[in-house]
Amino acid sequence: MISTSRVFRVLAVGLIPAFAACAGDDVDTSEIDPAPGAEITAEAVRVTAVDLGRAIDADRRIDAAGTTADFAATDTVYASVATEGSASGSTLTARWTFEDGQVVDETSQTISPTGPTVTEFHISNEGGLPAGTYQVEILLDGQSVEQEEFEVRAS
Amino acid sequence: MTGGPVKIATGAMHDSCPALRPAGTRHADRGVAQHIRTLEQEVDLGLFDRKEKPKADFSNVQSGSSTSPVSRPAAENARAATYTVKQGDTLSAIARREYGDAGKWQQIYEANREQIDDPDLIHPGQELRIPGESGGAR
Repeated sequence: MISTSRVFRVLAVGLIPAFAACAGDDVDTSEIDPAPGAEITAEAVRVTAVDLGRAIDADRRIDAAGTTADFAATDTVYASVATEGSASGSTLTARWTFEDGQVVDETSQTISPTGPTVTEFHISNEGGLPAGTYQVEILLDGQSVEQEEFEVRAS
Repeated sequence: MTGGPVKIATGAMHDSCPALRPAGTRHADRGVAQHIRTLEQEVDLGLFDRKEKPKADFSNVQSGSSTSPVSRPAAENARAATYTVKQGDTLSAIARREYGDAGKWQQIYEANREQIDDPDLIHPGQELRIPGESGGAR
């Protein structure tokens, strides 16, 4: 037998998106209080791309023409990390290392995405970065998920 | 001197080849062999000329990070930022619907001056541009 409350739940879950579609508006689902017992499956956050470049745009992206693995000592090196999925309080970390593993820097950023998100990390050095081969390793909640290598040439 | 350790095998060669050792020099040889072994160990330990590459200095490295959700594509924004006037609409009603504040009707009026002469007179079917709340495109 189907209980009345279950009927209401089904109606609530089914009709909210329908009303939203009629209004032609985007609805911030974070503001919708799901009916008790309603199953909402959130896709776990995952890293979909890591791009390196000298500059980022307002969306923290590096456009295709700007991606490079070859930098001058005085450049700021940006790593733009694209993620998808949702999470509340995941930690993205960029670990920058030089040649034989000497740690240059390690920066973490807490993210609570509800959809596609871009996070940027960057390093620079006042007197110029030492020339050589570097790596940036991206960790999601402590797990290494991507690694990119780049070269810094003496200016 | 750089590169791998250098082995000096002279002492070992003398030890393993007695024929090469002059008669009556056994004790002296032992001393020389010991000295050579010591030299071998010192070379192995890198005590001669094997300089380590100095560590790069990253003490002045500046770093940072930031994050943001991906903004909607411009075409999608353009679609969302227009409104087709329906029968019975007023600029106040549209402002209430779009901004949650009827008092912001002037923003819509200003953004559509080329097609609205009188803010009290809008026509069904008119495509109005709905600016962002700060006045820019949404």
